[in-house]
Amino acid sequence: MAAGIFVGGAGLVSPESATTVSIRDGKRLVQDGPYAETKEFLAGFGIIEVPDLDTALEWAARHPAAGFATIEVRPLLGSHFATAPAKAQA
Amino acid sequence: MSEPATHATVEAVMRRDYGRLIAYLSARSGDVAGAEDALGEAFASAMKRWPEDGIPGKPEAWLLHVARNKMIDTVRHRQVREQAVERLMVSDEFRNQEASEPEPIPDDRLKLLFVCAHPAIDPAARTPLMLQTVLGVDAARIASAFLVSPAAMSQRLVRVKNKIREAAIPFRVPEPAEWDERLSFVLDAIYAAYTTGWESVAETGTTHHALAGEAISLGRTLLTLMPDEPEALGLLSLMLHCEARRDARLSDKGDFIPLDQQDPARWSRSMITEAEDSLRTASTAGNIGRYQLEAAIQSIHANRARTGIIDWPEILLLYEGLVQFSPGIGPLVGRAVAMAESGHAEAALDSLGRLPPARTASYQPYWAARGHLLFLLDRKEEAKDALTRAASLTDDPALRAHLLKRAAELP
Repeated sequence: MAAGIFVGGAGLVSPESATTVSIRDGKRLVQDGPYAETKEFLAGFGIIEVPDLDTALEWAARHPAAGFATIEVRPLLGSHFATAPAKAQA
Repeated sequence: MSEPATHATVEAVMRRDYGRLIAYLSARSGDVAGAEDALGEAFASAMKRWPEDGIPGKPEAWLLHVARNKMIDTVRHRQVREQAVERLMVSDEFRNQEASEPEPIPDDRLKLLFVCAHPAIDPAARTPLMLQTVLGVDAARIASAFLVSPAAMSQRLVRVKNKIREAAIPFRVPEPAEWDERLSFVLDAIYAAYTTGWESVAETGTTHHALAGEAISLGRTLLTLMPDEPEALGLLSLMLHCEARRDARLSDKGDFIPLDQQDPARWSRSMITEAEDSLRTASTAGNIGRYQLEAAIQSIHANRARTGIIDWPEILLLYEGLVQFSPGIGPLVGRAVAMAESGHAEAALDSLGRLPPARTASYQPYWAARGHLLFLLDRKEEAKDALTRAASLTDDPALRAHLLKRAAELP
């Protein structure tokens, strides 16, 4: 902190808590687990604060990338930014 | 109060109220595993206290009260560490509810069923989770029905319960927009309990699978929670129709008897009557679906008890409808058989030939159906090959013997 370089950060709950969501042919696909393919890669992330998984999935599915990529939803560990169960989307 | 009386009461409450108590506690804490632990401790306290203090007037309310207090204590302990704020809110809610002690206990089992079959839950874990939380079936029994080790099943269940808590899967009944899909996940998980082990129970003298009774209980529970839902009625009807024939599936000598050759006198009249009533009630809603169609197909077979014949063209019509809803390999193979029995064996064989080989290669009913169709078309050598292949794909000794016998009758 004293070095003044720290911008922000948070731990994530284990991948077993992950859920993926995508939109294909106008239909929302929700699946248990993190990215299935090792070829998939993290293209970006965002942090939202919502009360539960269903609400997180709803917002994640509205992201433009949901139409061609897959959005992984994971909870933040209860520290740093999180005072309520926040969700990280990557 | 004696210990045997305590035992009997505890068992009765377990049977009648277990799912309701777990549902109540988990819906308010978001923590299924914590609810199970707390209720387990409450049952243990009851075993200690009731013989001395007497059995309370409302044993389930007593258990709920004790379990809830235990959950609050556990939560308090954890707060010293990380997830403080969220848990505090939960325990506050608990406190408030305690002030106005509800009676009877609100029924949150529908929410629990929807959590168990939530799309974020591993599909392979949905049925075991339902059986354990809603009915209180123990993990070892579930494991044996699913042909995995008790340790592996316990691990799978622990993992999904952690996910429910950590990912904060909400205990709620889905909105109308997502209703059909979410309900279908619940129905599928219940039906999976019914079909689990159907093909693979190797106990001698029974081809009957392990969890049929539990699956029907789940189906009935669902209907007490949504009495007018046509697909829930269809699912119960389907399971009862199949269950009605349990004793007729094997001869006295243990030989497999195909459905169209079973003795209708050995079918359970009472189950068929209930199955028919459920299907009739479902049809009044005018909202057809996969399970109603499957039940209707079984209903036509059941009609043979009265008419002595099987109305195959009607069955074919129902399969045509079914493949619209669920174009899986099972309905497509069933449709081909109905087509052949309605006098279109050639077209039926063509339709089988169009199925993707990757799906059919190790699907036993496909090879049995193919063998039967080739037999009808008098292509005996090919029929023999297909039936032999079907026999190699089943673990059920009675069914295997039946298929091999049919193959042996061909040149």
